[in-house]
Amino acid sequence: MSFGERFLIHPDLFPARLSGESWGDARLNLEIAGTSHAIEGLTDGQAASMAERFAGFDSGVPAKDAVRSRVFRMAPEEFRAIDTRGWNYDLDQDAGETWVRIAGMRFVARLAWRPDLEGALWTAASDVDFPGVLENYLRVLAAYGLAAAGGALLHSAGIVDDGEASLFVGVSGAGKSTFSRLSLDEGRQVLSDDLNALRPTTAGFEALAVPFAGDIRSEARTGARPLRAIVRLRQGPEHRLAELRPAAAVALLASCAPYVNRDPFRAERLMTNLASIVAGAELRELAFALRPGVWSLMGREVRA
Amino acid sequence: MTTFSAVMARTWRENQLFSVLVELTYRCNLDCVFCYNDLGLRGTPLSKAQYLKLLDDLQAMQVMNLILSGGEPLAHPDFFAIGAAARERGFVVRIKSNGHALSGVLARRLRDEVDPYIVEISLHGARPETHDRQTRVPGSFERLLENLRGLRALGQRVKLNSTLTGWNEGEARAMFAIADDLGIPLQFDPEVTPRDDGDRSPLSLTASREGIRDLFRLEFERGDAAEAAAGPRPVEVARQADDAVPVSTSKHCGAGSSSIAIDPFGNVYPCVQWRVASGNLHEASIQEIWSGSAALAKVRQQTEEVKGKLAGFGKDAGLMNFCPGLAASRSGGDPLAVYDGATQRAAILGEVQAERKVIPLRVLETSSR
Amino acid sequence: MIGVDTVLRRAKDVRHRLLPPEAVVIRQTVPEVLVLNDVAGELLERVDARTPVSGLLDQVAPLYDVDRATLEADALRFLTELAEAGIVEVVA
Ligand SMILES: C[S@@+](CC[C@H](N)C(=O)[O-])C[C@H]1O[C@@H](n2cnc3c(N)ncnc32)[C@H](O)[C@@H]1O
Ligand code: SF4
Repeated sequence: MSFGERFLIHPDLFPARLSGESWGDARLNLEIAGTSHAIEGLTDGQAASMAERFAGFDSGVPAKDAVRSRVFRMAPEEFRAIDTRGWNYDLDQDAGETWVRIAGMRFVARLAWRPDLEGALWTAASDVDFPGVLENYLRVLAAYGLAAAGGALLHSAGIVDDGEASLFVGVSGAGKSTFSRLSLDEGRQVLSDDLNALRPTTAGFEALAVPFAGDIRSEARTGARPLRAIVRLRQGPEHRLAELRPAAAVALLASCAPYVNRDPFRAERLMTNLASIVAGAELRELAFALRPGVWSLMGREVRA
Repeated sequence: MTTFSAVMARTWRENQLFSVLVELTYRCNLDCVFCYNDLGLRGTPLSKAQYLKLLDDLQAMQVMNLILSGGEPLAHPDFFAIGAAARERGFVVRIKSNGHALSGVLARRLRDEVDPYIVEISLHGARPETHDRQTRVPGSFERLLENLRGLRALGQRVKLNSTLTGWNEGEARAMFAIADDLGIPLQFDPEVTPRDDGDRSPLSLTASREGIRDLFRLEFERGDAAEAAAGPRPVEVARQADDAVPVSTSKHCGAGSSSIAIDPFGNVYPCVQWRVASGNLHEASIQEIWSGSAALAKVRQQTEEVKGKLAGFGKDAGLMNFCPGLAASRSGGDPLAVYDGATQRAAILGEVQAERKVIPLRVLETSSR
Repeated sequence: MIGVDTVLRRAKDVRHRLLPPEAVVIRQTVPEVLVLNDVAGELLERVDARTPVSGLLDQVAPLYDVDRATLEADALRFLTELAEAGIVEVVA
């Protein structure tokens, strides 16, 4: 199937440039993983529902260097009706030297570097299902924005211990949410049990929460924490901690870096970023059992 | 018996609106390097209800030609609703499209629901390398040829437009060959225009003097061949509605007096190439703008002044294909300022005519916009 | 033969506008542009696949300062020409 066919009746109408009919005049300013985002062209209803969903990430005023996204109207008839029963929702993605395009349910999007990153979202979603659509778009935008900034967006559980963050990464079903809950019970703070951002700073990498819903919504979503460890996670009969080799860590992170890891034009950039992330972090492999005590193990071994 | 040209002349003289070009959207599925659309323009897009009201008003004003352009007009979220409404209201609908998506269901829906008089489609070169280089969408050339064949098979009347550029000027003959092969007329416009916000970067694609000269030679050559093949001409030649050039009016063109253009945000201009703010449909009806706009009144007068000024150029005046809108955009606002493109065109056309030693009575040409 | 009882309709491909004292007709399929006089234009405007020619005349008569017989003769002539040109078609 060629790009967009799964979702679009006329994939050939896919926008090749960032223009169209805005939904309205309202805008939204969000702070996502250390980057300001200005989202323009919303109806008042769309802006209000988003502000509610992303409460705490709303930065109020637009920053000068904000990444600009424009939202446009698209006809519902352009989309295929999809029977979503038993269906795994996966976006269609396509990339070029200076652009990325995305097709999904009731929306298409385009990112462009001209030379700074800009984006546009065309959607048929009205107020009710708009937040989900915008979130899908922002996830892609954040992933690419972070990669371009030398970092990465990673499927992971981000846990804060003693002011530092560790990212727990594993295949789906490895127990990220369960582990996050155990960690909460043991008095640790959860950045997100699903998606976390890593950004380079002058003193190594920092981890940040992103406003995309996982099962656990953290209270302190905006703070950045220095990165301590990258941990491969799996469930086991006992708590057990082992070393993780750097090459294995890079491969693991690559498999957990959504969107960008499928993009042949940005693969090299991503691998470079991941290599420097891995170079500055403690690397561990953790098997955990469904009982308390995992953080005493983590703490002891990791700090040793 | 009154001729159509005489009626057109009357529309110019009496400010009878006859042709309206509506830029439905700046959304586009291609991304041409030299596109004149101002993508930075902001405003509230006209709603479907506003478009339907506009069509009602234009019908009441006896406007006949409705040209839907863009951007890619088919990419407007309400394209089919607007197109079908135009058909119901008895307009002669022309679609200006890049043709990229005009296949299958979309092409059939266009014919069945909108029934356009003609679909005008842009060709950017005779080879994929050239066409796709200009459109910046790989595969667009092959797709276009396929779609053109499909449209012909559907019985849709099609015309090809092409802007001669520095990138495609060597391919004009081959482009005509493609058009001939498809049985579709092709019209060149040798002039690349600045972007609508005044940015001149598209001009870097302007064709060379030699390229333009070769195009004119080629056009004469093809004209001669067609004439020879057709034999003696009938006295009355039926023309397409807006190709008729009114004779003996006091105005240089019908901009603002028989035709106007409207952008996606409801801004009204005398012409797609002459973007003087003349009103906005969010604030006033088209009737109010048509009869009350001071800007349009001035434009109507300026088209008379242009005619007077060009008279000073003698026979060259007719060769310039002078456009007051381009003059204004190139001079920073003066529609009477004669620009290089026009004088150069007259010079080149003069040369080519001299080579032929036959002076045609007049050269019919419209812009591909 | 078109008479006062004939019912006409416009051909599907006809597009027309009234620009008094003329009317412009474009036949989309041919393609062809025609200029009609006022009376022919007003008649064409009123052709609706229901009203017989006599009814069209009733509607148009108040617009012109001519006697009914002259108007009728002119109208039948114009409508016959329009039918020959394929612009109107006889329904009944
Ligand atoms: C803006 S497009 C709109 C309709 C449709 N998207 C298309 O490309 O045909 C109208 C026409 O203008 C031509 N055009 C675009 N930018 C131009 C420029 N700067 N100078 C001259 N012609 C231009 C296009 O090639 C096309 O034939
Ligand atoms: S010229 Fe036409 S096809 Fe090309 S970008 Fe502009 S609007 Fe689109």
